[in-house]
Amino acid sequence: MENYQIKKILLLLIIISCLWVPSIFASEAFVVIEETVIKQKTLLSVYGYAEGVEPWETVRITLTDEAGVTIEKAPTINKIGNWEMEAVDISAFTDGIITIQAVVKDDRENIVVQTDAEAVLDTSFSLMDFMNKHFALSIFLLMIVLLLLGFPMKIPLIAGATLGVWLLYEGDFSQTQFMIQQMMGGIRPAALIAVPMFILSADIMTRGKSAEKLIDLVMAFVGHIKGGLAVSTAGACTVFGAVSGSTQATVVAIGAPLRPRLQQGGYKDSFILALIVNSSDIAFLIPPSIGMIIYGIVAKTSIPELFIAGIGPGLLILFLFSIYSVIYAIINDIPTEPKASWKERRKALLHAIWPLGFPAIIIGGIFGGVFSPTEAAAVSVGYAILLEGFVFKTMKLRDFYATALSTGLVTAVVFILVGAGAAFAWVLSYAQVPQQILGMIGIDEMGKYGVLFVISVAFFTGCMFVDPIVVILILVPIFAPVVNNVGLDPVLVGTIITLQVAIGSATPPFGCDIFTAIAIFKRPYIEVVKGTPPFIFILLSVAVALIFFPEIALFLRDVAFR
Amino acid sequence: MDDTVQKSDPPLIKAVDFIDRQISKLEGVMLAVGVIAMAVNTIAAVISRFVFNSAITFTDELNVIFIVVVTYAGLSYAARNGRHIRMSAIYDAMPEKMRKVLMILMTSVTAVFMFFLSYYSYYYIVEVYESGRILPALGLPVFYIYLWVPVGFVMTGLQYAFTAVKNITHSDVYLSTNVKDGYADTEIEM
Repeated sequence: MENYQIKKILLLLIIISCLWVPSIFASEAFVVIEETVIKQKTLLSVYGYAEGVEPWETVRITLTDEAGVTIEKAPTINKIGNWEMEAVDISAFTDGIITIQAVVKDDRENIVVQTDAEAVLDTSFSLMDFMNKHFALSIFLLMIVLLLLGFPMKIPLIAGATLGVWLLYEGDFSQTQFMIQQMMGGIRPAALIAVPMFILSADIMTRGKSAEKLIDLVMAFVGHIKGGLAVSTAGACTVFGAVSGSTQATVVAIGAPLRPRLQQGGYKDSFILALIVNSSDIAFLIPPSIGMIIYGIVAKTSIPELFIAGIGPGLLILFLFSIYSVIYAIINDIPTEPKASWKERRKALLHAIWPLGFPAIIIGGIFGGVFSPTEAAAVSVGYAILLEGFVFKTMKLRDFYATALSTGLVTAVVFILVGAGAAFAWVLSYAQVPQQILGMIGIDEMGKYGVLFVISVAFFTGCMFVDPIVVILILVPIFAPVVNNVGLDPVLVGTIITLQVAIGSATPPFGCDIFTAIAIFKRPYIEVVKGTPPFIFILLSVAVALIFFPEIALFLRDVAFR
Repeated sequence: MDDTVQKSDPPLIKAVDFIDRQISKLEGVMLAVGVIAMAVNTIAAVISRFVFNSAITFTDELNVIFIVVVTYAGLSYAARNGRHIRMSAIYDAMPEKMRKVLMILMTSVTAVFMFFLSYYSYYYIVEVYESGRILPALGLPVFYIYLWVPVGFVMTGLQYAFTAVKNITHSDVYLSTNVKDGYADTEIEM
């Protein structure tokens, strides 16, 4: 009984709804303005839809500004009821509110239905619009100005990123948190721990006796040949490079004690300074290398492979520098040093056997796949403490504390840049700046050599003005997409970049190694710069050779890892 | 570090200077201990892996904490001692009057940026705190890592602000509150 009633009610409902539905479609026509967009301050587009419009009815759009100027258009309605009015020229309108009226009329001009919307026209100059149109240009311009004025280098990066956030989110600073998030994320990779560890071990060695013993060893074996002191300097820089990851540390550890000896040996000071500054660049290529660690993290490339790939070019540069030193000694008639006897040599070797453990640990350990770079760094710190604290007994607990403090300071200065660089790179990639820039220089048609050439020039030029780490942080993410597209080996690219970065930072006018040398040796700018051209020439020819004969870098890598 | 507070300075300046010295000491300890802790932690991980044949799971998490502490304590420490890297070639070539104006501009703009970042890093910490994320191996809340970040930014901002004030009130050009401008007394150690 109940069941029957429910069925009856249901039937009734169905019938009623059937009567209703057509009435909705038939009489209740409506029109909606969905979106209005003003582009470039002169073009207005209006989008909307209409339903229940009969074939004899049309939509008319009337635009009216505050001064009463009107424009009328009649867009067509497509099958699913959408209509659009694209890019109407409104340059005749005055600033203020534009009233947009959409009216559906039938064929006798009777209004069936209508709706209104408003858009605000503001043709006054807006800095934000202008900068948004020239996004990359504005950011880079701001950074270059801040940089040249001498702001601490973190500020150009932070200011660039902040401007980027401001433009991307249209003045909404509440999104700055994302920037902070990126800054924090930038210093989180576990592999970064290798940086302070390598700085610490080199710092301990420089304060202790290890550097000195390495110098004595090289001197005992090659000191007697023509130009032997200069060759030894380059050699000692290379050997010390296997301990330390930075150019500056090598200038201090090797350059400072050797300069007086070279002066006594009859070399001109401009040659000595150039030799020290440029030979220290070898240390940047010989593992460990702070530049390579940062590149490896930014470009997501294997750091052990990069380390091994740096050895070949490093040794080639040492070889060419040695030849130049010999030629220089012959031309300038530099007297040769007395030859060390085999007894002296054995003594020097015995003394140096402890410090020579460093390359064994770092290069051997990584080459043999025993250690990761971070582990090798930790072991080298332990080894340095063992050596200077217990074997040579040059350092006390207090000295280790002071060393840790100075390492912490250097680390912080580098890592705040790493963090700010990560935030900046995030803003750039979010705004697709790399693609724009690479598209602008037409890099896709250049092929492998062209790409490598562009990369080399960019990094070289960048480092003539800015700290290498900053350059790596900014430029690597920009070039990353094209390196992948062209199918270049990221390890080769990393080696070339590391070399270019080292050359650039030793190149006048503003290479930062030059200023390190000025500060350490207290010599005027011109004297530090005067002797550099031959060295720069040698370094650049190695860079070119590396592009055409990648085996220089990749041979050892392939032996070790393939 | 030269003693830059003169006897004639008002007591407020002396008090601020005293507090600054204490903070400087604290930051120095954070830097040195942070680096030592990093070294001990990483060496311990190597020993554990090779000798005891088991990797310590929380090594990386501890290191992240140390890295953040070292970076943000060092940020202010480096500012105090004028050790941040900058490209000073053009600046150095300018006459002293221009350098002074530029230094005041530079330090005040930098200070503003530091305060700006400290404000938003505070909100970032709140966000991480509210997300309730936890370091998987240590079991600590993730926001612990970042606690020093806003403090570090504020300290650095204050350093630069003080330097700006010092440049306005004193006749010489100051690179930081402790360091006068110029290469002569810059001690470089790496």
